[in-house]
Amino acid sequence: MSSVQLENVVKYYDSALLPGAAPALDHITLEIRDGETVSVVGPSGCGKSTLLKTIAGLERPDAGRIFYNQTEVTQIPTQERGIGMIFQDYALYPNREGQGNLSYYFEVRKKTEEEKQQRLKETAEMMGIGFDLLLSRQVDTLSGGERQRVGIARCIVRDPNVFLMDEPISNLDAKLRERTRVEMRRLLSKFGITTLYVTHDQQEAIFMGDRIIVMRAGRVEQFDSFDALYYTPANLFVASLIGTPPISVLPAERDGLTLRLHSGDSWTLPEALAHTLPPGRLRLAVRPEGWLVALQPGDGLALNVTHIERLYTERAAFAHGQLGGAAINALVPLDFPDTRQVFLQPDWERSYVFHADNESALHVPGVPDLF
Amino acid sequence: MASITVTNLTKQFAEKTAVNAVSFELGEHEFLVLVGPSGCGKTTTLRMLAGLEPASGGDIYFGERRVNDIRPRDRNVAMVFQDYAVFPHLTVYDNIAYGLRSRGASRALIHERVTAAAKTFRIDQLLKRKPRQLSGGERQRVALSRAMVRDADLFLYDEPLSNLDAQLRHQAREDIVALHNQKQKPSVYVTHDQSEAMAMGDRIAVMRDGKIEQIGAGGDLYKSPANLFVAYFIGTPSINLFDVTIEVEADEFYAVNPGLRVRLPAEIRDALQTYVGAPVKMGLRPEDLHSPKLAPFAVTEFNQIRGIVNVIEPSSTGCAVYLSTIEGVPQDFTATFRTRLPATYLEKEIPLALHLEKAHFFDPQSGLSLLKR
Amino acid sequence: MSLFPVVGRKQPRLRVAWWVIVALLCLGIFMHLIPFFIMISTSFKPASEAMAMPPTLFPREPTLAGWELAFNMTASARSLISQPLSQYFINSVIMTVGTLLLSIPITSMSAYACSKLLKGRSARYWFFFFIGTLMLPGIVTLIPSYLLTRNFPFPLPVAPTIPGTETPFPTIRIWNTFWAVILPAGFSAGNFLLFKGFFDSIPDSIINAARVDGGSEFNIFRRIVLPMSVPVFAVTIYFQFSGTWESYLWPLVVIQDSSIAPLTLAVRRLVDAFTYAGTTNAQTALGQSANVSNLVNQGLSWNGLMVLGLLQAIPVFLFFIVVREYLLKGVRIQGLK
Repeated sequence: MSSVQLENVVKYYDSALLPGAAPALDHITLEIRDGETVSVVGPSGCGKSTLLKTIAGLERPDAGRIFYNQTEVTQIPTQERGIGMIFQDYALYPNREGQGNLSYYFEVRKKTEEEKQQRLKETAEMMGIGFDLLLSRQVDTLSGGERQRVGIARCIVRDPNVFLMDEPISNLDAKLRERTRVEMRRLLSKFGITTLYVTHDQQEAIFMGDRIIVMRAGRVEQFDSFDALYYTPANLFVASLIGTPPISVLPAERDGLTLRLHSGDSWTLPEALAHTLPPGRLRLAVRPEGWLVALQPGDGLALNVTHIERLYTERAAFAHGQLGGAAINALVPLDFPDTRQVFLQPDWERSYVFHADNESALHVPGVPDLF
Repeated sequence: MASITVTNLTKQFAEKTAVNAVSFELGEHEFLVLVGPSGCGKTTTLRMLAGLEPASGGDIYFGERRVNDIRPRDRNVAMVFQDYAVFPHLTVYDNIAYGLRSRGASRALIHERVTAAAKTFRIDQLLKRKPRQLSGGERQRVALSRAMVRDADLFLYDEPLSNLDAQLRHQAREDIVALHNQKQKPSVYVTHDQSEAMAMGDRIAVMRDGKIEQIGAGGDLYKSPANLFVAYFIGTPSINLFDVTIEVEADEFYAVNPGLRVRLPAEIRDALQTYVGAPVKMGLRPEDLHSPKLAPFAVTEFNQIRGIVNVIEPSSTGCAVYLSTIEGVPQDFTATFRTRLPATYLEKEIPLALHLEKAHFFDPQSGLSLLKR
Repeated sequence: MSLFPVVGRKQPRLRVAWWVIVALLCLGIFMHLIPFFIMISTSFKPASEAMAMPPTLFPREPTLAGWELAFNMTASARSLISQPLSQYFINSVIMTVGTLLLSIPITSMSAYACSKLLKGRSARYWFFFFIGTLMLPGIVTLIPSYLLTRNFPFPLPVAPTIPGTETPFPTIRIWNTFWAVILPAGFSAGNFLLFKGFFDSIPDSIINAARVDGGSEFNIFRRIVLPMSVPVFAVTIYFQFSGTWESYLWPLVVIQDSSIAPLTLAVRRLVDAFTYAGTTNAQTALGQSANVSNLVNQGLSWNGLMVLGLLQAIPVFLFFIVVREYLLKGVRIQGLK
């Protein structure tokens, strides 16, 4: 068990000397605390898998240093770092049965048979009911979920310092995914091992991570708890990545107290908010729950509803439509009538405003005080 | 009038029956979603409708015409595939035009249709590109445009969203709804994700092991599942299932297990009469578990459960709380709240009020619902 | 995948097309089998019937004379082929097994390194370096290669002298030894491509998982990759085997000594003798060569040559049966997805 620190880590896949070469990791500095589970989320190609491989030692950084527990490991090969890794495609050794997958570690370490059996037994106990049945089976007879369990067991059998997971459940069915992540979360809190969990699904990142790293184009955009990411995003990218359905982004222009959309329609800003914003072009962003939805025109702008999506579990529905060139998802009550038109106004307390060009945050609602 | 009729459709592979006597009808503008876990036969059903897979038994009618022995080309269906199936050597324009060209449409018509479809799906800037220069979302829109230009009698979608990033999925979903609204043709959509099914389908058919377990509107499946599987499959987080025994005490019905003793509402006593003293499965949706202070019904000692908070998952509408019971073998259950539960409740024991009027009961052997709602 | 749409075969237009394709395929198979049939049939004919006009489809008087003679003829054919047939067979086996033992490990490991260990630009350069030999037809490199076997490492007729002295550089001569056949086949670019294609399809994550488990690169290759790659090894070993077993031109160039010549050379020499004799009847043969005449008098004719041809082909055929499953399935990973 250990903490993990990265110091100005840079990684290029092609030579950095080539013109236009973009780094896969661009001066990453961060610290993962001992025993913490951290999710890494971002669109494909943002460098999140590279980050994981660099921490694992499967990729050598071009610059910067990596520490496990204050000990530098930058030059230490993967084989000697004592980590456990779980892969999206499970990466089980296909020609070995379940047990053979677990025992490869002991074979290359030349461990004694007793030690191996001892650890295997402990692991099977930890993995829960029915796990020993998987051990005797050939890998290709296992289902996706079972393979992933063997994959996890293959990691914990060696008692790793750090657990690295690369989209471990994204190949599973939606329903199975839901169940597996609960189980994984419970196993993780039982082991108390420092874990880095890479995923492209923000919902999964929220569920698994004590804290979340949001990455884009090789850089860490924000590294914080879910609440901070949700209510105080550093920029538009973080705001649009976190939250389902995604936040609606409307390009707009402020002129005094008037906020004019590209369509020409406008809302009136509250004075307090208007003063904090620069005049001219802006981006207004509103989360689904941040709309005041009315059936009658008042201060609101008309939204043509394409369809209403009803989520029974959340006892809510989302009205979808287009407004001012942006896709809008507005949260409405579950029993909302099947109407073709609603009238919208942002709840200014819960709205976000971003810089039009560099997309940095100009106004964010801040973490609400619920209790 | 039903425009697609499927009766007793069966597909037998070497040893396995992939699809077992599936029957349904599809109205003229209807959007039907086939949903189920992997290996339930939903994709095989779709492939049989397209003619990519021969049926081992049963009939497929398009209108009055039996199409079992008609090859895909002559069935006039449009299909969107999971991996987009965009031809890599053709430009976006030629990809979209392919279906029309191979059916000998005129140049002018092709041009008109292709540009219109590309505009609808916002790829009109990309018409000259090759697919490898496109992102996954753009390729998906090329595939949708390709379906759009066709005058197909039936539109088929084979998990078209599952290769997309979560953030793109929402937009793509809207695009498919838009395509359907414009074409107004019968459509069959296959997915393993029930939330996608609930969001898109006029009707949903839940499949398992080659059979349709239940077919109906999303709300109906949710409120009155025919059996345990449908109840479990529809809704995220999944329905909470408790193994209980029905006991009678002073004319009141109780559902009892080591960690739970709840009094059941009077209306359902008749339905449970024959199960007194027997084990049943009691299902409660996560949203029917309430904080006792905020419950919309009277909270007594006979409608509560206690649990330890394992995980709090925030969402845009509130949060989902994953708990486990204390007494006996710990059992996981879930509750969804409209407000956010503070993280300080993690690892704490909290009481929850159960909305038993909304409870479902199932026979533990057959899995059939005991209530007729 | 099937060649033809599965659904709709009963539609009239498709049904005609279906039968046409089946007929064409049958014709193709038939045409390929005819030569084999003639070989087998002829090998059981008596000498007089072997070249009879018009040819007979089945032997009229089936006999094993051809087979017996082929195994026992060397006594009377000493001047044509100096060793017993079994000696040539053993020579062929030595060359083939030697080539396999050298070539398969070298080729597979270089392909593995190129596929999984090298990254980015260097992988590409090495790849082109390795498959570069495919771009030149073998015949072009024949003479330089021959010279190399004479004066390794100089592809020159005579080794150059050390500058300032009259002494030539020391050279190694492997010409006219088994090594001359075995060493140049130590790396096969065609098999390299097969191996690389297969290794490329092994997910990196499996290799990475093994690294995380602590396996050294060689251990990973031997314990994880090798057992997964049985199909591709079967295929490449088959190609290498049949290639070496049937090679003729190269051994002809580098093997002079008849005692180490492979079976192909011996069979060819016999066939040559017959064709030079230009005949199959004893009278004319007598004028050409007493030896040939002697053989023919014992009843050996083209029937015997067909036997030799079959003997040459049988090991390859047997090997094919062993690896048939992998060849037909094609090279693909099993049990992964």
